[in-house]
Amino acid sequence: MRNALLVAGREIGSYGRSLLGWAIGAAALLVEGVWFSANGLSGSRMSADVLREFFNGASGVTMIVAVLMSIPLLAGERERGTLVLLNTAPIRDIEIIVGKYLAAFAMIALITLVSVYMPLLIFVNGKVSLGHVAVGYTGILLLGSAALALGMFTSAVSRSQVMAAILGGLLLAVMVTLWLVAKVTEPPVNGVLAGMALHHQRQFPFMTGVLKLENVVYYVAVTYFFLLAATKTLEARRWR
Amino acid sequence: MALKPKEAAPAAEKAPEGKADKGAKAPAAPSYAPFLAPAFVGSLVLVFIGERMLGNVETWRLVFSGLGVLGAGVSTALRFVQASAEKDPERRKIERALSLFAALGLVALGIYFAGNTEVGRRMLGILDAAPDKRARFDGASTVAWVVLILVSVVPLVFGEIALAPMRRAPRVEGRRVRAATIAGLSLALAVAYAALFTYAAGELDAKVDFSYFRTAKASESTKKIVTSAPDTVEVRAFFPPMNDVGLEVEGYLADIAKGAPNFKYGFYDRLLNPQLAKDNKVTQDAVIVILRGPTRETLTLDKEMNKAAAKLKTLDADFQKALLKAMKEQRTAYFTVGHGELNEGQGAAAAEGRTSKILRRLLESQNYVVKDLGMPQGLANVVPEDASLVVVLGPSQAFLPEEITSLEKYAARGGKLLLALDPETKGDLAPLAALADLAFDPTVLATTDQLFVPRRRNASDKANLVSNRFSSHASVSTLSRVSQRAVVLVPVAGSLDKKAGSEPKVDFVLRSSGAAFADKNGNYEIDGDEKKATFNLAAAVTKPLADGVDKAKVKGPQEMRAFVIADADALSDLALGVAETNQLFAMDAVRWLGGDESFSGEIVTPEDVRIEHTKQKDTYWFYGTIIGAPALLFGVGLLVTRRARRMAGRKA
Repeated sequence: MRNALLVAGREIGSYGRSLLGWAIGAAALLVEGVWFSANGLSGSRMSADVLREFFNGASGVTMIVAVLMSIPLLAGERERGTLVLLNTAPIRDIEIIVGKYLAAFAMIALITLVSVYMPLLIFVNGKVSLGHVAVGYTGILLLGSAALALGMFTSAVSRSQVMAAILGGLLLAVMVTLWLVAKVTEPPVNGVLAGMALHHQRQFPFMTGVLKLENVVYYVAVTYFFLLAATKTLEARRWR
Repeated sequence: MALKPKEAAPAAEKAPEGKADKGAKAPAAPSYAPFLAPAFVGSLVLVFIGERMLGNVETWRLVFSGLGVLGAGVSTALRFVQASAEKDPERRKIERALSLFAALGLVALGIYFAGNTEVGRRMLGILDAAPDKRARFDGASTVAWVVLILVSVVPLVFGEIALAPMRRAPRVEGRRVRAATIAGLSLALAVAYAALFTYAAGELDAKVDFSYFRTAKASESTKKIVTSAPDTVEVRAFFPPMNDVGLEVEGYLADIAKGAPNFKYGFYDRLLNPQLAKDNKVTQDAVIVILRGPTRETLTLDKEMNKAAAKLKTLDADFQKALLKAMKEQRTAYFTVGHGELNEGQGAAAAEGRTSKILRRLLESQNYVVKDLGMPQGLANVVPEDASLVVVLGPSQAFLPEEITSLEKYAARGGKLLLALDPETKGDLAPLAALADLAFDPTVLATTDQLFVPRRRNASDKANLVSNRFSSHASVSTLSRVSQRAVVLVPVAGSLDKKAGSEPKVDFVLRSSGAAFADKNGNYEIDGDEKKATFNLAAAVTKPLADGVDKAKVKGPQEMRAFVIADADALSDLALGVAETNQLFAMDAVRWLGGDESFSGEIVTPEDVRIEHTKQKDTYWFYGTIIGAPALLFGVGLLVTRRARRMAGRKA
């Protein structure tokens, strides 16, 4: 674990020194701000509706940011030829994956939590509970974590960043739109597909302030699975 | 049709020899070996198509599933044959391991067909088993075959991928194949465990609800109504599959079902169950049908979330209303008219909220039909037989003696009275109070403490009393449970007392604080002989039925019941609209009068706050959120990165 933290520290340092990380954060805030203004400032709306819509928009932004940030983590290293250095270092594959994941997740958490002033603005003229705000952010962070792990997996299997971006985008789109597929299938397959969908059914309770253990377990499980898959992909160089 | 190793050997001998080991012999793998894994996976796909996609067409289902099962069986058998024929111990070990994974797939298919075909279910004795045993078996067998398929296919495919480049090599590296199969096995087990943990967490249904505004939850009151039913209450919800509104309704119904074994519910697609929809007279989606015996009540929502949102907020109230209709026969509540009652409020009185629309709605929600009762309806002669309740709501004029006599007779035959008296009435209300053997003092109460509601910001506000001093009587049970945080508004109230020598059982259910006083001179100050005391603001009165009364004709509880409040304004639209507690107060009183006190409890109707803002504020917010914050973050980023670059330059 100490090695993983070393990798994470190194990655966080590189994020801080690169203007790209800050630019992605500012862009995310900009999009969330536009979304919030469009939903919160358009006409006379109920406080809870505005908050739910804000979380809806923010969750979409977080998913995209998570995938964008995950692309260079392994595919970028492979493209630059620096993955070999990591592979030859006295560090296990799982520690590389966990370290990079922790660093990227810290950045996503930072970018997400910086937007907290928007839901707090609702208190000026409306009424929501702080618990609702906290649960909404918990949902977004869990979703971001799952999307990040998914992106890391595609980054691990791709030879270039472009391929990683395409694969990541596709896989994310499939995971999100499983909900729509579930709508046109029959039981019990529709239940399975809806349960697997990354956003709709799982994220909606968080947006409305309801923290369900089932949804937390789901996001943790998705994160774990994709991180494991990414690790196994790195390990596969030994047997492929 | 397995090829003999001897026959396969020449083909293998033709293969190019490995560069690394020129002296070694060519492997004895038969030519079909590389196709075993694809054939096995392809066979499973055929079974999937047959069972899931063509399940409704029996012939095609048999063809596809049959071919699939045959293919899987043959490919597994060939693999075993190949494993036993291998001479190289390393290859034999690998092939055996892969054969075992393929065999697991066959076991999965066996479990699937045993659990999903009539023959299989009959052989296992599941076909005639009890429904709960069948459900348990179905759940367990589904989990078993899905997990086994995963554990079979993923390691097999991974192993084959690792083995493929070495198939024609003189020697194989067993460790590579082993690592691949272990990786596949880990991933398959990770999926299985993740799914099982998520499912188990879903079954636990542990949640914390921080939502300020949400779909109404099932209230205690609704749950009590359901559990009080002597027989089964069934709910059939007709929603399209995976419908957002349906999911919200499912959460609501599941909450009720948790504590009510006699409550059953099911979700149905109207188009997939046309006969059921027809039987329940359902012709559109998003309809909830409540069934109790032959009684059927329907509640209609909208299948689109944006349209249904408003109705979901009042779901508990609407569901309870429909439930009560299904549970009890409809009752009639008569509002007296012709004496300037609140229910006749018009003009200036209506503008001040001296009306009774909310009380009327509350009565309707409790399955009452509300009708007028005045001279034209025969009040001077007799109260109609169908009256379950008579409401006298703040009359501003006195009743005629004949009307009082008529109400007395009604009370004597086990009638139920809700009497809201108003101290500002010009006429004498003593005869009305006497119906419940009470004395009414119309002297307006004021208070010397801070327990009043400021309205005009002058001394008159001291008469707008509030009180949380409830008794433990059933007619105020909900509020008495939460008296630490709930008060009832009693603006401009008189007071009640027992009539000397009265026989009925009187319980004063609401009292003023000890700082109240009867303001005889109307200056809202305590002076002269005015003294601070606790005054009775509301009373619940019961009297046994007189001898000779036909008990079969008595509506509700077999006794006379009267609920009397010394301030009609507490039940006006003004007070009921402002204070939800006053609604609870009125609702519990009505429930007690109707004998439904066991249903007492709050109805959950969450309210949200609308965000109102000005154009100027919008501008600040717009620039603040859209431009300000991102620009600030980017600016900080610029500073940090430039500083880092400068530091790096210095170091260099």
